[in-house]
Amino acid sequence: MTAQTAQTAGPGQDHNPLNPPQTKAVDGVTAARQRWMSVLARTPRTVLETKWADTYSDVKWSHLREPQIGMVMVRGRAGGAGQRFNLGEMTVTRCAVTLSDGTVGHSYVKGRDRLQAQYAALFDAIMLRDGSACDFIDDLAAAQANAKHEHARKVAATKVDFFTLVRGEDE
Amino acid sequence: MTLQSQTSELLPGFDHAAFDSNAVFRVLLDALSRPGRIYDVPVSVATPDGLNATTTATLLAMADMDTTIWLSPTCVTKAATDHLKFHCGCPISDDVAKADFAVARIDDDLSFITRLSVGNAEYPDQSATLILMVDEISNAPAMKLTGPGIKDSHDLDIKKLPASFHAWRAENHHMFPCGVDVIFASPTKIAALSRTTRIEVI
Repeated sequence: MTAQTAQTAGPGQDHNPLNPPQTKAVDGVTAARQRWMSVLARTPRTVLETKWADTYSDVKWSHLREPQIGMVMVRGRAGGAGQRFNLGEMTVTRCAVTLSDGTVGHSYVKGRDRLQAQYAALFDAIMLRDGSACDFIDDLAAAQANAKHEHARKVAATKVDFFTLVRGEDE
Repeated sequence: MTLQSQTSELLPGFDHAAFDSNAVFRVLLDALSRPGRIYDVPVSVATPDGLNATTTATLLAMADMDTTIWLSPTCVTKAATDHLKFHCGCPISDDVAKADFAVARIDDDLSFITRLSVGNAEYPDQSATLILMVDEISNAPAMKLTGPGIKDSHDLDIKKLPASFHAWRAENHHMFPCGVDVIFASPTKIAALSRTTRIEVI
């Protein structure tokens, strides 16, 4: 994956003088939150919905910002590290919720599924409140890593190496 | 895990962003088309410290990332700026000359109004809109309004409106097509003065 959304530009990859490297230190709490937010954003709505209904159905909450659908510019880098270019826009849905104790959860998910964004924000709030969905997030992360690995393995099996005979005229 | 304290006191915006902002926009349009007529704002919104309900609704409906907002020193609370930044994504400036919307209370020092942007001959629409938070708006005969949008004349009474305001309005009127529009926002009602409205103090 070399494409990344403008809002979550990967740390440590900025060499462009117009966009100086992000020097903002990502502390442990932020890094942990980034991890669970990214895991939640990749999780299908049905999984989140089922887990919420099973475990947290008695939690009182309200929308701070109703799920909104919009676009973000996705940027890529030539060759993964070269010049930055705009790859295209993608649809994202964002949502913010607040639990009855005032904890605020946010989410940005790709696509147009309002409920997925809402549940992702709810789980973010739960994680900020007491971290009780930690095991759930870990399971999801493991499953996602597994699926990614499996996909990479299948793709790798079809890899073809091309050889060109050097003819000598260009050293 | 620590709570993100900077976001934990955020208030919700409109219940139904599309319908409510539409309804508020309609009321503002009517109010500016018929200067001096008093309108109820048809939605209720959570109000941060420093603003009142109709001002909050007006800004939620009108402000976005392209509109700069200036809040008077008594309005510029953390709750208010957080609320506007979160829901509207609008820049909040401390330079009144850059403001597209300037918000103040009627009992503030209103000397800033002469520095509001009036637009220019090519783009008179780039002028600022002044939102004045007032305690009470009524149809008592304190000001007699005439001008476009008013059939004969219209009475309006804004409590505590200072004399300097009228002097500024008279000047503002002569700059047409440039000039500043004013929205009076009481806790439940609004009334507006377009730049063309003539005011006669009774």
